[in-house]
Parts: sequence; structure tokens; C-alpha cells
Amino acid sequence: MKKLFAMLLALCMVVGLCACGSSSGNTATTAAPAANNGESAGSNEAPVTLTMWLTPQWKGVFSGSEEGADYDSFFKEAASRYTAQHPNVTIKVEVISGDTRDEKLRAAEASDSLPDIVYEGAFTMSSYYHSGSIVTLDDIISDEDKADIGEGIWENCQVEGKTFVFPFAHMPGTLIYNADMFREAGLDKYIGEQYEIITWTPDELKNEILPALRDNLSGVYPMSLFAMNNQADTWNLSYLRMFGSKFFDDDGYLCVNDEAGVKALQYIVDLYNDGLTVPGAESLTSNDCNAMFQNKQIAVSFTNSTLLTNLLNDMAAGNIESFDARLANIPGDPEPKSFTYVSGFMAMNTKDDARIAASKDFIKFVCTDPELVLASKNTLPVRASVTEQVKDELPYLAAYTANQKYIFNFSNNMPGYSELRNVLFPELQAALTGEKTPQEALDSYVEKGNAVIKEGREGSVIYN
Amino acid sequence: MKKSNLGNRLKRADKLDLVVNILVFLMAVVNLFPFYYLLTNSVKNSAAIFKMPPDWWPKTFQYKNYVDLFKGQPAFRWALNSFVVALITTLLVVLCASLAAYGCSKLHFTGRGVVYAIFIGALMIPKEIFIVPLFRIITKFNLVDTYAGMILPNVASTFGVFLLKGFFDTVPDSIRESGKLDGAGEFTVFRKLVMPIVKPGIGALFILNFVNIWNDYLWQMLVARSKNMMTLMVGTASIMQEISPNYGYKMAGAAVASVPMLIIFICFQRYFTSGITMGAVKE
Amino acid sequence: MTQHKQRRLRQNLTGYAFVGPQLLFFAVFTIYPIFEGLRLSLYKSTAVENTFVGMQNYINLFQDPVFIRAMLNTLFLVVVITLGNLLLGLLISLAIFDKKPGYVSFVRSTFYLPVIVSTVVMAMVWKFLLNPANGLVNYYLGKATGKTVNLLGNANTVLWVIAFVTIVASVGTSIIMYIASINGISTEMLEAAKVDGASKLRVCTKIIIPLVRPTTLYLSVTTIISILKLFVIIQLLSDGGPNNASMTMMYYLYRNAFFYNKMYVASAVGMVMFALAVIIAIPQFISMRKEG
Repeated sequence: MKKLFAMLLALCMVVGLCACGSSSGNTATTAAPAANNGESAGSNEAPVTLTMWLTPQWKGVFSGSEEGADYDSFFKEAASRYTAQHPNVTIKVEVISGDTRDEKLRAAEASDSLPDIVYEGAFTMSSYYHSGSIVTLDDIISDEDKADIGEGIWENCQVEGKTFVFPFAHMPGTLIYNADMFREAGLDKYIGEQYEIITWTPDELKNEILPALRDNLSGVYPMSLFAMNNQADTWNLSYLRMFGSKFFDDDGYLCVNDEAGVKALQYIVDLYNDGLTVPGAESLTSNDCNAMFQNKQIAVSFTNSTLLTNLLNDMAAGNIESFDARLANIPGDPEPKSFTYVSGFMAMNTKDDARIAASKDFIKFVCTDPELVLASKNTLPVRASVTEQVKDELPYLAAYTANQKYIFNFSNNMPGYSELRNVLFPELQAALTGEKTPQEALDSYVEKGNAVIKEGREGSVIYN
Repeated sequence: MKKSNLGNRLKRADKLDLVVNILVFLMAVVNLFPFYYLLTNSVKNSAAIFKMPPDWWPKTFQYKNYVDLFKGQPAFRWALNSFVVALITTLLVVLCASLAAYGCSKLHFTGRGVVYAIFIGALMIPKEIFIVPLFRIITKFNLVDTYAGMILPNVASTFGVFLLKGFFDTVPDSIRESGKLDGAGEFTVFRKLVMPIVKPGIGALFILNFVNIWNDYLWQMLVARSKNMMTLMVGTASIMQEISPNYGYKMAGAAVASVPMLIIFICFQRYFTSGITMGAVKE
Repeated sequence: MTQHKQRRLRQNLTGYAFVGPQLLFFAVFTIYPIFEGLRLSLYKSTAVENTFVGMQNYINLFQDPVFIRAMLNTLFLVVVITLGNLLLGLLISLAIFDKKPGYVSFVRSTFYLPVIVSTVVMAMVWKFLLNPANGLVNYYLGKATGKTVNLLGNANTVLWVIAFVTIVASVGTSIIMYIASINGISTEMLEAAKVDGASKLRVCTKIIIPLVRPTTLYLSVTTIISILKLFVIIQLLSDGGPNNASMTMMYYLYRNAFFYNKMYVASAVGMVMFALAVIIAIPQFISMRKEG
């Protein structure tokens, strides 16, 4: 018994230690650079530890074929290069999943424990501009930066003329198809060139391509469709614009329940009901569909330039069986739809001036270092200067550039955009399961969505 | 617990009994199916997993999924985190609950009834209801992403007090009094005389609490921020949500997550079966 | 007199010293959150305001059809899962309790296995099995019916699926408790019944079931409470869909707190759930106090 008690007591002490040990994880890591600091004579800046979050982007520092290439490779490399120049700054890099990004950030926001730096798609973060959790970066953007990066890209990073994201790369979203399956289904005339983004009309897709895939191939679903959660909903948003719905009216409120919007949703529901998509889309995620496409169970799916790069790398590495994957536009009438995710660095409002200043300095370093910016080729560079340097390495570049005329800005960087995303998928589910007609589903989306937008504006630090 | 000989005495196997037992047996076997499915798929390559109808027995065994899992994810670290969190929480619970249960059972102090009533009342309130205020407390104390943050709120559970009080009640007062006559202090009496008697109760509480914390998910998911602080359950679920075309890898994650508890269950089976019942079933 | 007082004081101090540590944890992590939750639920807090709104959050809550649906769904799950757990647990226990120990142990362990490997793993496996495009269950159901079947994507079936998976993942506890409880019944009583020529069915319904009532009561309350906080199965299996058909109060709370950044709504939901838990717990509380 005595032993038991001694043990309990010892463990309590351990708890105490662990509690301190782990809660002081920050102080422990800040102590290290402090020691460093002493050695690098002359520098008397206080030690700073920064935390950086990113969602999976590309693998490797500059290329996915590097040994040990992972999602954090580039960011760790950038951090260590920065630390080499600024020994007092330590940067911890953490990869978080896109599915849980909002939960993590909301929890951090509520508890004043935001990370210092976030690398993420600009549109997913607009709610945080409005909640005051992201600081503006206009003071670190030079005129050269402004000139080197296109107007459309900047637009994605700004609200009311203030810049919240330092754009680093962008990823156009398109469809992708398995050309081997197309050949097998006798659809040769719809196959584009290897590095082309082919355009099909909505009618061709619905009446020729998908039925042929359905009828001629076994064990393959013609097209991916997903509505279980908000992930990759941008494709769903694009489908809704297929027949020309403006989506947002001039005041920034939703108006997608117009005739064109309803027609588009009806089109999707028809595809679904005719067995031209995967079954059970209402409980499938984009990840499920992507996995099925990669495992040759879906013929036409969605992709962006990063997913495409990863797919090709996985094929090259033998992780999945190789097949002939090619790109297509999201069909539209009269013209196809395209969009791009601009991603970049954000400095979070941690309310600690020293850390914010250090974060901004780091962001400026990564986004302007002539060597580091080359990593943006893994998706697509936002800088014209980088594009010029790497154009020979990027076979798809010409096609993406040619496609730029079809790009629309899908989020308007509105307040409450992440809440708005969560209003859409339940309505899509209702439409797919037949619980609501497309008109009812979109009416309901517009009504609830506009309430979110209104509430978002009332709670935005930008509008108030 | 007494072994009943009912087996012999009620052996008038009427037909209904037989039919029901066949059904029960079938259900028991079917219950094992998900685990079979999990384990066999975890050694398939991704193309084989997607095959329908499936290969009931994997055509090729490849352990790449497991290798990738331990290479790509800090799975050992997750297991260690789970172990540390579950063990320390449980030890703290045992310590606090045994003291409090002893107090409520054997000591006479003003307000004892009220204190015990409050403890019992709180038994039925899951802490998940209060995740918002709890999370604010944890952040106020700067405990996000720490073991302490995962551990401390769980120590507040009063189930242990309830369970152990029943055991302390069965200890005759004469033992305590004889100790007192020898001049021992209350704590000595508790530690030296009474605790040894309630050992089975401590064992039961230990194992129950350990399993509960090991399998806890929501709270640990909220507190764990960095990949290295995740517990096994949180880490496994995060693999599930990852963008990866390889389902075998996810299956391997789930398999790894279930193994440690299976081992513990096999080793301590009798504590599980006795422990669970002691709290409620008092004749 | 003073001596008596002193003794009393010492007794009190000793008593408080013993219950002190537990009480401290309890106060910080249970009592305080209740009041903090109540306070938060009476304010509306956004990035630009933090105003006292009284009961407005609650009024909004009960006007939100999704919340009403979440309440009804929670109620449905409470009823179905509790009944399922108790009936199935009792039935299985009654069927096997008089059999050979090896068989009893086998059945008990296989049913307890899902409990032990955690709901996270169970939810993951079932998610794979129920995947509408390439899951085993839907594949064979589709073959059998000739139509595509998606049990998780159908508003009429999704709650049943969740109830089923939850029961599979938790009925083991009921079986273990019932078996132990039945083993605790005095053998003489059952012996006497046998001498009277009573069939097993009669023994079960007339003697055993009434005698295991305390277990039934305990199980029903713990099951109900565990369903109130049901989380991971919903998150991994259905994410509350389709179109909120499987939204529960706990998931609604979580969504508001950590998805929509509406801590005040989440706090109000928490208080409603707290009230529910208290109401459910009253019978158990009374019976436990009688025993304690």
C-alpha cells in the first residue's frame, strides 16, 4: 500500500511537471534561440517563437520528387532559411487538415491563441478578416510586388482596398478525366490534347459523354459529385453558375435562385438521378471522389493544379496505377466556368506587436526571396517574373493562361463566407435526395445565406 | 463473485432458448466481422480495397500501409500521448475519488450529505455539454495543446466517488476505530487499514476510467492542437479526414488505434467484467 | 462545551481535507462551467459587440427549425438506442447466462469488443462499409434490391443507421452488467422455481427481470446520458446530413461553437441540454441516494 501511495504521489508530481512542461512548450522553445542569440554577437533582439499553420498544399521544397517530400517541407525550409538570417526567430510549422481548419481557427480565435502565420487559400479565410483576426499587410507590399502580381490576384486578397493576404501561388480549378476510359467508351472525339484544357458544352457532357461512360464501362461511375460537407464546394458553386446565374446581386447578396441558377441545379440533379454521377453524392466528400478517381472508379472528376501535381507524382512514384489523366473545363453556356484559388500568407492578429512584426517580416521574406518564390511553380506562380522563369517546366501553363478569361471571383471576400459555405451543402443534399425541388432548395439557400451575410456584416470589424 | 451453477439446474433446454441462442451466437460472430474487414483491408493495396465484390481474403499482403503510417505520422507519439493522458488522469481520479469517497462514507462533518448529493447529482451531467466554458477555462490557464489541458477537466468526474463509496461502506467501522485507538491519524487509518480492503474497487475504477479516457475524443480533439500532441483516437480520426487516395492507409490507422486497448482488455478481462458492474448493481 | 466544539471543528477539518481535492476539481471544472455557460448564453458576442440580450438566444434557438429537428432527432436516438441497448442486452444475457462459462465468455467478449476499441474506430469501419459508392453494405443491398441504396444519404434511414451503429458499439456494456446482475441472484430462488416446474421463459419474466431492475434503471440513465453527448459517430458517419436529418443537439452545439463561431448559441444549447440531463437524472438520483 505504501508503494502504491508513493507511486501516486510520484505521479502527481509528474503531472505537475508535465503540466508545466507541456504548457511551457513555448518558453522552452524560445529559450533555445536565446542561447543562439548569445553566440551570434551583435544581435540583441528578443527571442521570438512563431507558429505557422498551413493546410496541405504541395509536397516537397521545390518538387514532390525530393526525398522525404511532404506538405511542410517548403515551409520548414523557408523557416530555417529565415532563422539563419534572424537567429532570434524560431518558426514552428504545423499542417492542419482543411476539414478541421475552421474548428481549429475558431477555437484559437476564441481563446486568444491564434497562430502567428497562416498559409491558406485566401477565400477560405475571408471570415477572419472580418472578425479582426488577420492584420493588413499593405505596409510590407512594395510597388514592385504590386506590378509583378496581376490585378485579379490582388483582388482575391483584398477587402475594401486593404490587403490581408500576401499572395504566393494560385491554383485554377478545373475538371479532370481519365482519357483511357474515354477511349474505351468510344469517346475519342471528346479527348483533348495532353496539356490542353478541353471545353465540352453542358449538352455534350449530359447527353453524349456521361451516358457513354455509364453504358460502356463496368465498375466505373461516370462523374464525381459530392455534397456531404463544404470541402471543394467551389466546384458545386461553379456548376450553379453554369447557365449564367450571377449568383450575387449588385449589393453582394445571393440571387442564385434565379432561372439560370435553378436550371443549373436541375441539370445536376438530373445527372444524379440518371446514374451519370456517383451514387450517394449527398454522403460523399470530395476526398472520397478524388480517391475513387485516382483508383479508376470515376471517369470525370474535379482537380486543381496542386491536386493534379500530386496525382502525377503519385503515379510516378507507383503509389497508384498510372493512367492518362487530362483536363477539361467546367462546362457552361455560353462559355465554360473557371476559377482560381489564390493562396498566400496571412499574419494573424495575436495582439502581440513583436510577434506580428516578426510574422510580417517573415512573410515579406518568403514572398520576395527570389529563390523561395520559385516553389510556387508547384501550383502556379502569381508572379509574372516567376512564370517567365519556370514556364518551360510547366507544360500546363499555356492552357491555364489561355483559360484565364473564364475566371470568376466566387467569394467576393464577404463576411461570413465560411458560414455561407455551410448553408449550401445541406440544401444540395435536400435537392439530391429529392426532399426539395431545385427551386425550393435554392430559395432556402438564398434566404438563409442572406441572413448569414447580413449578420456577418453586422459583426464585421471592416464594416463597423 | 460467486460462480452460479445455474447451468446445470436450468437445463431444460426449451426450443425457444435454443433458437435464441443460435441467433445470439450468429450475432456474436457477425460482431467480429467489422474487425475482420478492417484488418484484411489494412494489408490490401488501394485498388484491391476498391474492388467490389471484395476479395474476402487478401490476394496479396502488403505491409506498406503500416510502414507508411509509422513513417508519415507520429503514431508512436500518439500512442504515448494517449497512454500518458489516460494514466495520469486515472491516477488523479483514483486519488481524489478515494479520498472523497472515504470522507463521504466514514467521516462525520457538517455538510457531508450535501456534498455527496452534489457529487451524485453531477454523475449524470456529461462534461461535453459545457465544452464552451471548459474550453475558455483551459485557454485562460494557457493549457491548450498540453497534457494538463486534456487531463484536468476529466478529474472532475465524480463517478469514482460514487463507485468507491459503496466499497468503503462495506468496511466495518470497527476497523477504523481500532486504528484510532492505536493513536493513528485519520490519513494513516485510511491509507494503512482501509485502502487495502477496497483494493478491488480501486482496480475496477482504474480500469474503467483508463478505458474511458483512452477512448475520449471530442475534448482531446479540441485541446490537442499540434500533430504531436494528438492522442491516438484524435490522430486516427485526422488520418480519416486527410486527403489521401489510399484507404488501406486509413484502415491501418484504425487497426493500430484499436490494438493497445485490445491487449489491455485481454490481459485484464476480469477487472472489466467485475468493474463495470460494481457501481450500479448492489443488492 | 469548548472541547466538544473543538472536536467538532477538527472532525470538520478532517472531513473537508478528504473531500477537498475532489471538490476543488469539481468546482472549477463542473460548477463554474455551469454558471459561465449560463452567463455566456445571455450575451451576444461577436467581433464588434458583446451585449446582454437576456433570453433572446434561447428564443432564437427555439425558432430555428434545425435546432427543433436536432431536439427531435436526439429524442429519437435516445428512445431507440436506449430500448435497443436494454432489450438486446437483456435478451442476450437471459439467453446465455445458464450456459457453459466458455460460451458466456465468448459472447460477452465479442459484444464488448466494439466498446473496447472505441467508437472512433467503429465509426471509421462502418463509414467504409456504408460508403454509397464503394461500401460493402450498400453494394450488396444494391444488388439485392436492384437500385442504388445509400443508407446514410436517406433522411428516412440515416438515424436508424446511427442508432444501429451506436447500439453495436455499446450493447456490450449492458450484457456485462446484466450477466453480473443475474449471477448475483440467489440460486435458491431459481432452484425453487425449477422445482415448481417453471420454464426458463417463466423464470426469466417472473423472477429475473424484476430482480435486475436496479441494473435496468442504471443502464437506462447512463445510456441516455451517453446519447445526449453522442458525437464522433455523427461526425464521422453523416456529419449531421443529409440536410440536417441526423443533426443532434450535441452536434448542433459543436457546430455553433467551433464552426460558426457562435459561442453564445452553443452556450444556450448547452444550458438546454443541461436542463434535460437534470430532468432525466432525477429518478436515478433518488434511487441512488436511497442506497447511498
